[in-house]
Amino acid sequence: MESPVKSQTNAEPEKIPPAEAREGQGKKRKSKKSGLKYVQFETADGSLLEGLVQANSKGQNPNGRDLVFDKCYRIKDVGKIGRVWAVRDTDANENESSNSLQQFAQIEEVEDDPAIPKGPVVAVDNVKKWYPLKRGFFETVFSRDEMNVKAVDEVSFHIKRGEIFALAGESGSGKTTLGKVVLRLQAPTGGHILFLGRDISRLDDRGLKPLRRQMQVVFQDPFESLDPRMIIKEIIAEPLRVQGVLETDKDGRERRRRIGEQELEERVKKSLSEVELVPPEEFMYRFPHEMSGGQRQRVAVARAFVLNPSFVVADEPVSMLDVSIRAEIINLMVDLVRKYDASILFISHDLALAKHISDRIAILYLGKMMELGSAEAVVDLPLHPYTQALISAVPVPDPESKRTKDVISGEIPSPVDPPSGCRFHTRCPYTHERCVNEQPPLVEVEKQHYVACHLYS
Amino acid sequence: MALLEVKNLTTHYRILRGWVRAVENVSFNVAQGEALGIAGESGSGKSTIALSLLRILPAGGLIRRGSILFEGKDLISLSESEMRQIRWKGISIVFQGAMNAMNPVYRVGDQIGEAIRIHEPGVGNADVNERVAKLLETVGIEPGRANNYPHEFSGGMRQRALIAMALAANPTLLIGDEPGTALDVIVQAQTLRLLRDLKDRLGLSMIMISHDLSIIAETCNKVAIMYAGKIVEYGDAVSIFKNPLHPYTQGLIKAFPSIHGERVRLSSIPGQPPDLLNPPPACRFNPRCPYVMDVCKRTEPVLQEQDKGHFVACHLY
Repeated sequence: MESPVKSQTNAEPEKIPPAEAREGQGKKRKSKKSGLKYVQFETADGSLLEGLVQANSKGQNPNGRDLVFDKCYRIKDVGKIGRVWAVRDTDANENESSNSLQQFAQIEEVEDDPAIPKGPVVAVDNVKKWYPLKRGFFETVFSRDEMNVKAVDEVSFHIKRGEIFALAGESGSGKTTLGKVVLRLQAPTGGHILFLGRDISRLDDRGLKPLRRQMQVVFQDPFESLDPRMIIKEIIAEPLRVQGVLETDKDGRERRRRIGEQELEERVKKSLSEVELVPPEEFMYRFPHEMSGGQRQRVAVARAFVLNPSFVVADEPVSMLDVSIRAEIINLMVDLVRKYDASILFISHDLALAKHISDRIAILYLGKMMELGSAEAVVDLPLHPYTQALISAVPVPDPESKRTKDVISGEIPSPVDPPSGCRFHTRCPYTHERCVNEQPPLVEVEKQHYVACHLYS
Repeated sequence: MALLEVKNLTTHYRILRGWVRAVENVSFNVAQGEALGIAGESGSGKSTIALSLLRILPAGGLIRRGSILFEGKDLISLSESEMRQIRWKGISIVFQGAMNAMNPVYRVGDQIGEAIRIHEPGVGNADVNERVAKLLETVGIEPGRANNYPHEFSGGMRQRALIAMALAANPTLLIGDEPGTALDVIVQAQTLRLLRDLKDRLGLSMIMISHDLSIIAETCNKVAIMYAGKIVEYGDAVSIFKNPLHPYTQGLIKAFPSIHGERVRLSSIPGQPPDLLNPPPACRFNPRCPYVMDVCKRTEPVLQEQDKGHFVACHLY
């Protein structure tokens, strides 16, 4: 399927027959069957509305194509003004299942209001990533069931501008996979990813390349993520060479141009000073093996920020480093985020660290989101039994508080055949019958604090 | 008398450019039933101490001075065959990296049994199997899993199997070299609890080596803080964590984000660990120390008793 933007542009609003008449016109038109758009709407007071909008009828869709992210809109019948941040085609099935959604009758563009917060940088909507399991010949012939590793299963969240969003969980919970899918280093099996208001979940490599400028990544291991045969200058210059410089020409259009050697060197120097590798001349011509782990991770951070991205995924950026150096790298990243108003998806198993640097924390278990809320709320007042177990397992540097609390037993089950109902029920101390049979939905228990557990519903 | 008395241990590695002074003049004691934690950054020489105790240093490594008295015997003067009697029966070790410490082509039970067979040649097959089953039970693994290969075990189970292997020849001293580092928090908590239980139940003495102060706080009653091959602070765990004296220890404790308490900006120790080929003169911490004085660059501070049982090597005191 092409991106919904395109399909909408080609459609001429007046000529679209009513939904019923178009049914059964073949697969190509299926996505337009309902003519509805799913819209998430963030109002000025921060509350979230979601609903379906008749996208093609006159007056409701200001640009005649797609609802554009980051413009102000008013929902007429609700009377609220805010920004639209998730737009995607809904087909008939989703329409039926989402009867909890509000039906917005009309939505219209109004004058931009700077008081209304800008929309999120990334919105992840029901994303799934399944890996098919390789099977032997006999199994393929004699057994029909498809086996999948459900690494990420129907996860939704969004990351605001300038926000540090932490994803925490044990290994095998799918946090790294989710990071890769959000960056579109891997394609999702289902669901939608909106990056700066654009659906990137089905884009191909060519479509993604211009967006790569805006999204960068810092990997866990600074010993493996830097090419050992390149000097530091080349490592940091590579994204600049690949992406070039963006310039606005006379007509106000953005143009890409190749970067000159001198300019390149200046940019590299500036970015090295930003990560406190000073004087830059001393480090520019070194190879990675001539630097310590902490310095290497600084180079990785410099490389991620050199293009001035609006979104960075940091996958366990300090877990390989010594404790005494960790804080420096973390502070450095926090400062760069504030300086450039970027957002970070911070993937970590260290909840203590996540609490101190992130704004919100999401807890993942076997590919499902268990809890989501502000960092203080999740760590200080955890609601989900799994979060509680994770937090009580964190060792405390205080010899007098010897752990007397219970540690939950067992290990994370295999994601090939995850437990039925609530995925945590095999290890949960509060399991009851409902947990085995029924999957708990993620519900808002306190303001902006969501939890997926039957204890709270 | 202490079970283990290490005096002025000095271990260097010979490389082309000279001697890497990995461990210099390190002294400590471990009493029966006591757990000592050795903490420090990577490169501070903590693992070298463990390897020196067992005399399994890699090529180039040499104990240049000092004595290691274990149950009254000096391990340094022992011959290789006498040393073999001490390894595993006297002192055994749980290595870091549970994922790679086992041979992938042998069954887990056979690998644990091997330790028994080598150290007690007279034991029959049936007895070995029985003891393996018992060991696995002690560490909380179903005895039937002895026939599995390492890849069939999860990370936490492999770590437990390694602990079982270390216990195979009934050692009196168990060394844990970063036993929880590669594990998830929950599995790590399980492993640490298991080690604590074993220590209490079997009366084991332990040396825990870790860069993670919180792991040491949870398991040990005595702590040695190492910096660049030297012990800078040594003493009772409670007094070190409550009242750290050395600037390095203070920095290290502050660098730990606490899961309880207010959200704060993390603090760090500026600078980098020194190059051990050419360590800084006198106090090795002087280039990074916030309280550095002239005397720190001229004379080396000695480890002195500051409070009762709390030693520190710093000119501030």
